[in-house]
Amino acid sequence: MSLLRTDALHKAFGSLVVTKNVSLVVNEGERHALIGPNGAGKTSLVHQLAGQLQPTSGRIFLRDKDVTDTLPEERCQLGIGRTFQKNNLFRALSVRENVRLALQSKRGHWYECLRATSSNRKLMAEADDVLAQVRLTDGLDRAVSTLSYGEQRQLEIAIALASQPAVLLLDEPTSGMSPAETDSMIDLVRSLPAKLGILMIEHDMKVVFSLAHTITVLYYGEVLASGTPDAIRDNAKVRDVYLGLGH
Amino acid sequence: MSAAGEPSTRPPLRNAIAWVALVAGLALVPLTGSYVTGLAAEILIFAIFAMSLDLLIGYTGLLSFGHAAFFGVSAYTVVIFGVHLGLSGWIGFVAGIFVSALVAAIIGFFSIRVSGIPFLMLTMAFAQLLFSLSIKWRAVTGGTDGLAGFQRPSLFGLSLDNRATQFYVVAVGFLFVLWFLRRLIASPLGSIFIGIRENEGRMRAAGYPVQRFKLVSFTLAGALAGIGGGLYALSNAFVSSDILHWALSGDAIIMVILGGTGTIIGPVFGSAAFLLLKNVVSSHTEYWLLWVGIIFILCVMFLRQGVWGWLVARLPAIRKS
Repeated sequence: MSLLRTDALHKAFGSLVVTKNVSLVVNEGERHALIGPNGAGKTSLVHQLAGQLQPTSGRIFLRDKDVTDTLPEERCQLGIGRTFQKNNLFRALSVRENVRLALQSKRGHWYECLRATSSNRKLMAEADDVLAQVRLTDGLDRAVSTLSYGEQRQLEIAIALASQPAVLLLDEPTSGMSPAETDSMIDLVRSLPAKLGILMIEHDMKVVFSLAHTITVLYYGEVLASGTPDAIRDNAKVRDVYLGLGH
Repeated sequence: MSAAGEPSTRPPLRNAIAWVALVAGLALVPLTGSYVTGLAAEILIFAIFAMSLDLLIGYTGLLSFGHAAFFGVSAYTVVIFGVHLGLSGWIGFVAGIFVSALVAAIIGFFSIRVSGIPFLMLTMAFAQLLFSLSIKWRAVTGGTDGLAGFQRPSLFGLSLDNRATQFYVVAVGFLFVLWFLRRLIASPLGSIFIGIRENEGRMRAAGYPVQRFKLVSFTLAGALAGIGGGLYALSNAFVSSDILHWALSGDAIIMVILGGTGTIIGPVFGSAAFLLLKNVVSSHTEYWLLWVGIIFILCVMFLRQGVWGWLVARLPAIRKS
């Protein structure tokens, strides 16, 4: 079943076209990688999918429901989760509180103002479960600013998972990571729920080829090619403009 | 920040002892005589005002420069209801809180559409609008002369004309606001405000309608400031347009920063420090504001967490609790 689908998505800032006629599909359980050289419009596309940017034309569908005109907070509630290329956390808060806050967004109790959050043991335990999913189990009471960079990348994913998305947009999950951290991030993404649809921007070809079922190559805002990893590897155009650079 | 920002982590027994000590301390204040009692009441009233502003500045990350509007509107409501309509100060007090909340909801509705400096300017402009109204609408407000002739109500047969009774009423209001804010900040709603302060964009990405919660915070802060304004009117039995002037909004910001933003008790220290300076220094020199200014600058330069933050950092016992 198609979870997320775009139909001729187009985004222009004046004469600068960052997304050009992009139609792509992310199915349930699919690991879909979005690759392309810097400036290809990958992050702009994710911003549009998650609602931070409004496309100039074209539509976005989540499970065949048109979500193009919804706000970022509404898209999250509908089931589109995302992480950010640069860590985008609640830095002064504890690790657990970062995730608890994101969980609470789906659970309601928003207007409860006399009962302590800490008295909701169930939610605290669920936060710990989500953190365990991204392999953060120790020192959950520490402030986020004391975590290592790699741990902050893991927390970034935990916050997105906490809102229980149907489709998860990962914006360069391994950016800035050491090779060892990258390997454990590959394992982490592999261990995520099988039904989750994932659209992942990634520069590291090792990550892309070890995770993706489908690869879409963007070039100057346009889809240059889309297909299985093998098809992309053998695609002459792709080799020419992109893969050739790195291999 | 976390010591006072997460009161729920304090063990229940210590918490209870702190409350008992506070209540006992406040109960004894009227024994010190009329001057000190009056000053203490003023400190508590402005502490309520400053605490309510800190909900915006310190906990939601909204730098409002028009907070006097809500304090003033409530005080005017109490006195106008009493003088023009002959209604009891208690009815006026409840009405004042509602009117403050309503005015805050309206001002907030427009102001939260922008953030940063434009937000600050917009809140100040709205407050100045009310200030002008209080000057021009002489028939109702008494203009710059103010509105006198308010009869203080009584409570269980005790008239609020009595300093001690006044103080106790103010102290109850203060304790209520302190209790409420501590609960609020540790609660789900409070955690949403703090999340907005920390990272608005991520809160939206996490599914929270941030604009709505900014308005909730702004309206709540307005209602709490209204409690302060109502108590001010009940104890002073007089109101003039000064109370809506932007200078009072500025004083409240100074109190919050002096005491420590993002702490609940900090603004109470800020209010005390500010008013003690005002009362003590002004009896020696008419340039008291100069000294407040110098101390404020030193505080911003060297006590970034305010007086309360400085105390917390130096008293490990408090930090642990």
